[in-house]
Amino acid sequence: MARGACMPAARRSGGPEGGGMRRRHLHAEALEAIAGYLFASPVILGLLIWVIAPMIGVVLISLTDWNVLTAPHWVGIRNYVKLFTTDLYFWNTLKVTAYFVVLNVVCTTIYSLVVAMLLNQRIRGRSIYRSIFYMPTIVPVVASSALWLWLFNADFGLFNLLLQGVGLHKSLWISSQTTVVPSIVIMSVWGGAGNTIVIFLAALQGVPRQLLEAVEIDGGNWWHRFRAITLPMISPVTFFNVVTGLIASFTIFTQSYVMTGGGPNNASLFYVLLLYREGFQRNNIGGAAALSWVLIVIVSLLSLLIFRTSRQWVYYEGGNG
Amino acid sequence: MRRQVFMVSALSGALLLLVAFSAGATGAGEKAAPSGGPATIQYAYWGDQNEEITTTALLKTFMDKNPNITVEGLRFGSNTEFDQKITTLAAAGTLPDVSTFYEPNVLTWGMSGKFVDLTDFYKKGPPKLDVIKFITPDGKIVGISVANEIMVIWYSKKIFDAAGLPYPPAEASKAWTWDHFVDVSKKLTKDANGKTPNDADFDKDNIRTFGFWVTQWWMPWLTFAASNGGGLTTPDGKKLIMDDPATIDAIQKMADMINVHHVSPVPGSQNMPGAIGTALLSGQVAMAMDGTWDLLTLGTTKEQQGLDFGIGVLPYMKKLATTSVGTPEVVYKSTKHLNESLALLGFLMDPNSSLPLLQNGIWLPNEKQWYTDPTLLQKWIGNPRHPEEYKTAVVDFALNYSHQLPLYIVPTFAKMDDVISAALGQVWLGQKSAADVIKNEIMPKITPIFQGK
Repeated sequence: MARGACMPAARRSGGPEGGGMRRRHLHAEALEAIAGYLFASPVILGLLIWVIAPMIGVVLISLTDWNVLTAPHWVGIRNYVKLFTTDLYFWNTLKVTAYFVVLNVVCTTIYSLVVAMLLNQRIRGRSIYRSIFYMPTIVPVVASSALWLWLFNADFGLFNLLLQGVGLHKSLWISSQTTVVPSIVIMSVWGGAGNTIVIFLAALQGVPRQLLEAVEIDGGNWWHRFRAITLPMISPVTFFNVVTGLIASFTIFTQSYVMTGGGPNNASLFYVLLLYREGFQRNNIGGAAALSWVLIVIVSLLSLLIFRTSRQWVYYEGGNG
Repeated sequence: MRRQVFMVSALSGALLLLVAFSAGATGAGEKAAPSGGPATIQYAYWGDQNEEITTTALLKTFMDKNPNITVEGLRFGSNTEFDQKITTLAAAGTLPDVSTFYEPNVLTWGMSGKFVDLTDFYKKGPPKLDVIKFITPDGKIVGISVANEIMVIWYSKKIFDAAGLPYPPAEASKAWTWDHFVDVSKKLTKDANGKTPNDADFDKDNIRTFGFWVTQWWMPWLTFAASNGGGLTTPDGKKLIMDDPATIDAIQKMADMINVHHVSPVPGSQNMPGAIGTALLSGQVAMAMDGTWDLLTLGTTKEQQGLDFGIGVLPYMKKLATTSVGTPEVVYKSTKHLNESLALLGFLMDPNSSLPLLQNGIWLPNEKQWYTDPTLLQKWIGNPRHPEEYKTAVVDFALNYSHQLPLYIVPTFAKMDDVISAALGQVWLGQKSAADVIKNEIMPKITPIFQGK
């Protein structure tokens, strides 16, 4: 019998010999482990009950033809097949949502970076400007949608009044198929850039000053500083903003629900609006569940794609950039 | 360590399975109570805070008259919120006993057996208006609108006076033809320089007053389609006539108001908060086609801000027509207290109970005799809120010329309207003709929906 069998590091299911000391060790570790699990259990249970279980539930529902009013019947993947083949709105919705996502992510990222760089200057009242740019994010979207409806009004709205005031042509804003998504992007950038600006600002402040000065000494101007130092140094944050922006943009809903109802001619019938309508207004819960899982797959694949390509353009300090 | 890991995983797995299975199960129903004894029923409705006050007072009156029935009121913020939440309640199995209901889904719910068949219930009592009965294809009445609303012309007397034109007629016998209506609209439309569409230098990008305004939802175009002899379906709801030349023509005429005659604003412009009262008061619009429910808002605007408005009958294309709509009251089959629920229904559907709402202008009654009997008429229109012309422009017009909307008898209406409203957007914007859109885009899509595929 080796003393080694009693060492805490070695977990050997042994016989009764030397069990006394082993049992004492195991008892202490068991207590520690149980305590650990207990402390973590609220989060684990929460995740299980309110996230994972409903997700499984939704998968099950998507395999039925449930319309809430009668008992569900198992139909297998028919809902999914219908989406991709006979559904009147699915492909259009994908197109429209993709258009919005791309435009929104590009515009928000560029706008936020520019504003963050401006706010990074040593000017007076800097904190006031930062608050002003952050404030739109705390305005409830429903309330701001009502206000933007007036701004966008083609005949009496403020934007057209301003456009005409400087001699430009009126725009139809949300009343036309071609301009409705860009209009909603404008509103979304206004309301959502605050968070991105703050994060970019933090990243910019982490750019080492000596590197920027080195470029200056070498005769570079602001563009060289930006391209060679700033951009690569903040690329992890840019990456984060792009991925989170992408995921958030796919869930665009309130603006089209309140302002356009999906029109004109389904040009703003975004994915989640269609999902909501199918599930809660047309009693097609099975179809809505299928829609939601397709969305999860799409967003996951896109995120994966961005993660994969990130190796080309994201530089981690002291890392493999 | 392995043992703990195994134990926790097993526990989590068991919990997961338990939750997953219970996620699909529907919950318990309402609380059971011995029938005949005191009963508690739930009445769900939607409305703002003012309507909550009115409804709560109404329910209290009912409870005073029926001491052994307690009614819990459940208010939702809007009809679309109601629609969403009632679906959730159905999934959870906790539906109310009586409620109002979002019109487009009444028939689908009725056909799924969610509502009590009220045909026999309505055989008793004074006759209700025919145009506001929700009837399933197999002939069951599953709900009746508690109020009647029709479309009329609301106009600003000030703008008409300034232009020196006679007001829109308040009697059906004197109703304007469509062409005359277009003509008047053109005379009232003014651009920033005061020019009308009849003038050579009219600036259509700078219009300050529009002659005519209507929102592009289903009620207005269905009304004018009826007036032109067309519609979405035949009156019995059995055949699609969306592509009938009369329907196409009606829609094209409405679109022309925007793009050819330039007397109406671009669609989507109407989604402004405070809509009609503000538009008439600020002179942005001379005439508006909208529902009779506006009397509440316009009456208040008149009293508080001096808006001098008038009511006129609608212009006609081939024959006089307006359409009716109104929130229905339904009783759920899942109720545990049918008699008490029917008692509440009878009370709510009685125009006497809704007298305050009839008097303040937001509702019209659902019983025929309230349109014809002078004593009853005096009860609800004999007040300053209802203008002089109300009797002929609204009461008589509604009684004699109101057409039933397909919403009341065609279960697939909501799904078809998703397609129609979207596609017609191109017609309202002047991008395509009504004939093109209806024949090539709308009909191929709504035909399978109508046939139930």
